[in-house]
Amino acid sequence: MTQEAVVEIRGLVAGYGRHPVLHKLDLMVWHGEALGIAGKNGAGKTTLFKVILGLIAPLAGSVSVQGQMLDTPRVRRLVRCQIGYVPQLHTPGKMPVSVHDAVLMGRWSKGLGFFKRPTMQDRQKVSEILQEIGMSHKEWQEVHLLSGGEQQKVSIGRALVREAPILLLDEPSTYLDHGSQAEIIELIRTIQLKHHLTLIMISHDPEHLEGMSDRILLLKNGRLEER
Amino acid sequence: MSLFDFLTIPLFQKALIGAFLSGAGLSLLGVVILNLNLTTIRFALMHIGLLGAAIAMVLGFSPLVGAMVGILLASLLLGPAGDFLNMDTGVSGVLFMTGSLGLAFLIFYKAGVPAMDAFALFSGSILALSTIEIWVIGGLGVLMILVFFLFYREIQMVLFNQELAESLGVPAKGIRNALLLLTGLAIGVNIRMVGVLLVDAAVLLPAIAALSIAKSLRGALILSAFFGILSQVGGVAFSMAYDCPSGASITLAAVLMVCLAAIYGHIVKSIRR
Repeated sequence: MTQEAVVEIRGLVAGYGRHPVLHKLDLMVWHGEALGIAGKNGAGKTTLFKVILGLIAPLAGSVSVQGQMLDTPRVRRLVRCQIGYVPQLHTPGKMPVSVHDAVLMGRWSKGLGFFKRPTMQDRQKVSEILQEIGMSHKEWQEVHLLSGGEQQKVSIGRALVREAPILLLDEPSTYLDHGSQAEIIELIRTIQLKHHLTLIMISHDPEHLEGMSDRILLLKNGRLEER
Repeated sequence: MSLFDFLTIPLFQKALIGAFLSGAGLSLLGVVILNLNLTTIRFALMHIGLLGAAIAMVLGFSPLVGAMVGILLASLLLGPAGDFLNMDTGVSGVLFMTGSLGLAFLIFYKAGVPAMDAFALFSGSILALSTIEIWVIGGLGVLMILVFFLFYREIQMVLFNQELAESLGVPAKGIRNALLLLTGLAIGVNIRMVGVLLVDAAVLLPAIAALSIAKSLRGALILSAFFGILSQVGGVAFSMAYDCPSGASITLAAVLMVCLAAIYGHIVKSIRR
């Protein structure tokens, strides 16, 4: 970890419509750090992620990612390419999508895009990542037939294939059994070291963040506090 | 009269062309409805289409055009109306559905629309398709295929996980609304062909059959079009050969597809185990 701020948030007020969820929030995330943020449901954890991802514009305050202020839609779009996002584990629908295709989705706005088809390099990258997360043997299996732990690995693979220096993980191990939790924690630690990633993880339970985080902050009443 | 004799008659030729085009292009939207959970909204659009067709009939226009205009307006208004009334889209859909059905019956009654003409809207009349309607169905079918071909990856992401698609930079809401609009138009066309009561047979059943055996979205789309063509053309051909109502024949052909696909899927799963 170095003292170079990757994410810098000052006086952030953000929310939906006229109802702010985050009130004058300050946050510095350092390069190579694994930061855990815990807070009850509705505390604003997901809102904070949406702001960092540039999906919500702040009502007040400033947000910068990798030294770029997220003050225009163009910058927010560009910054999104530098972030890998692992959403909360959800029950997948019945739509058949192979593990390969689900990971390949992560290349969108990196190599893939409107009217851009996947190249050999994109496919090659997907294969490398599947090898790394131990899912090569299930490359062509449908995602909705996988276990929760395997689905979470696919999600992490999709974030990794973006080759982004920052990873945002929403409840990365919460809805898994003990065996899968340990596996995911181990995987997250391994990929962080190997790819020199900065991680920001959120969970409703600080205990779920303990094995993976260098420090844990609590989100209460729209502000962050030391644990 | 044999089936081949029917094929020499322009009326039946048009019906078969319409059935083929609808099956090939419009059945694709069933995959969208099932994966985006648009079942309530599609039900609302069906009834709004009925209201549009009823107004068009009374004013002397093509019911197809009326249904399409009604659905087009509803597709654009459903979201904002829900916001204004502080209801989610599903609930505002119920409001639109019941309201438009009541209004359609009122219009039929006050305008003195003959019962058989009103019934035609519910049961459809593929044999009465005009040349212009064939062009509309064909154009819409081609548009659907083109949209799925050009935006396959983006649609796949939105159907897979809308929140994820948004975080990757895909304009998920725009794509969802465009798909909703296309779904509405597909329903409008199918109201004319198989009627309000049997629209699901043309739009949803081929997709249900496809999704029970497909292993990818591409496979689901191809199979959905295949089952769509089989059920629509097969249903029309059956209705000609055995003098049955075309809408009901298409529906039963589609139900048969779903049953056969489910049995096939079950056998494949048993063999894999």
